[in-house]
Amino acid sequence: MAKLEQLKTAFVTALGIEDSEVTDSLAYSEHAKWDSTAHMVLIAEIESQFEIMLDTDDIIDMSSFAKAKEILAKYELEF
Amino acid sequence: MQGFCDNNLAIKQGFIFDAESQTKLSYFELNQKIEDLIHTFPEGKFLYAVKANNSLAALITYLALLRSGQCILLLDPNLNAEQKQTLLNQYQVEFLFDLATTESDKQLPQFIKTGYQSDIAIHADINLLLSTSGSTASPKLVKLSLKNLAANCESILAYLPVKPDDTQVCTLPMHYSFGLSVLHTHLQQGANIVLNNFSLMQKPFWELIKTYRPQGFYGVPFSYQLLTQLGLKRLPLDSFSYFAQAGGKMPLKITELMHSWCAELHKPLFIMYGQTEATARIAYLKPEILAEKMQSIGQAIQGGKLKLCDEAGREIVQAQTIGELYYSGDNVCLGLAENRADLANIEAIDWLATGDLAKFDQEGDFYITGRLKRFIKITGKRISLDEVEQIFASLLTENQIQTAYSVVGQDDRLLLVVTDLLDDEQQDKLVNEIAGLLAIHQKYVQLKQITVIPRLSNGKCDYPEINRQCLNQDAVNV
Repeated sequence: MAKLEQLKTAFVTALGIEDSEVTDSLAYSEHAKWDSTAHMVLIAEIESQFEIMLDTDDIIDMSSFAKAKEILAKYELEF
Repeated sequence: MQGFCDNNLAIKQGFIFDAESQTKLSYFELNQKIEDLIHTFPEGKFLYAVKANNSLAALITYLALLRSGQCILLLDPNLNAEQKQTLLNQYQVEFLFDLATTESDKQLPQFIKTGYQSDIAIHADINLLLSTSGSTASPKLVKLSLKNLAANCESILAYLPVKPDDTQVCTLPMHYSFGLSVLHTHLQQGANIVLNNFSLMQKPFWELIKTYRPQGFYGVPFSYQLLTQLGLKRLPLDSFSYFAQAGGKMPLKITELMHSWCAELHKPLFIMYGQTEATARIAYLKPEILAEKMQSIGQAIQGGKLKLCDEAGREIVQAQTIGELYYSGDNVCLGLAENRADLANIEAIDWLATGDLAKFDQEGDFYITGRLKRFIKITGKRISLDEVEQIFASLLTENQIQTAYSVVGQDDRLLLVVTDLLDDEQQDKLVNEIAGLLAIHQKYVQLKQITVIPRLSNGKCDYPEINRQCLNQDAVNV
């Protein structure tokens, strides 16, 4: 549970959005603030929060909050 | 001559594919659509605004307007309603193509009357208006002619290996002069063009790359930063036979990374320099000398000339001496406009003052050393510090904050400077609002407090000194 909060915080910080906006439907290019710059910041934030290194394929595949949870599961992180 | 927009398009071999609507047209079909659309235009020369992403509808519209001698204002589709309205009003735009959603391949793009009508006739030579700073939605526009576009297209094709059987997957928006120049050269050659609006951080973009296997990669420094961060070795870049960079000075570290990777694979990397005021391109560095001249922009494109002038306006003939960079060529614009009245006439600019400071070496290759004008680039977007300063002033007033202020910065770092201590909430609010208005990420914006805004004897802000004080603070805090 704490991990989910950590991931949400990473999104809030990186995209500069409100807590309430972080839902499963939050998606790249559909939210004005989630552009390529914000995406790079988000990746850096997730990598430092969870002390992991994401694969290139996973970085470009992380197109929504739901997808982020799914991808991070591969890194043995349970949400 | 203008093979990128005239009737000759009909005999070219390639295709245009719109990734969003999944529509594919041959050049013959494209030409037919252009002709059909031209028939819907009213008699006379008017100003048409086109607000569009990269799409077939936008391309057909743009080429039809260009071919029929109209005047086009290309708008950034991310402008908000208010910014758009300001421009329409300022220029008394008669007709608007608002192509926000991808139009189907069946119908022709539609335009509406804006309600504005002007008695001011547009000069016969003005065909295109482009913004130099999309971000602040400044009403200042560059006036370009069909001749400008054709000249620049020809000069670019004289050095970039764009071939008729190439495929280009767009990486830049068409309202941006660099993105537009890529379209022109590929249309001129009859190459395949895959229109899309994906970013390099999106999987669908890389799927297009894998499917269409393009030859040329065009990017601004930020694009290359993303490529290197994502990992050059892990991306599907094998189809690319050359790389080209423009849109600002690339950080040396990224140029070095790109160069060593390109050199190993024998793929040329073109470092280029340009401005919207010169249609797009001004200079490029020959890839074979990149290794020894990593920071150079090379020499003027074919048909153009570069020179440096000192403060008194005298030409600098001595190598390694810094002066303002001037450019001359058929691609130099017809002047700048701020309103409709400015469209009635054109300015003959023999030498375009670039506002950049530069020097040249013994072989005549140029190096940009700084900027005369107060501009910075944030992720490739040109930002006028003077404009931001005005916006910042009105924000302070709106929020009833009384303080002396200034705005300074370097590339990728915008500093809002105040003399009074603000609370955290006020600071966050100002940073977020400025970032929001400029459509940049808030990590590039910082609020700084200094004791007093230093001024020069003429009363103007001493910007270098403000910058120095802010940088000193960073040094102390570290």
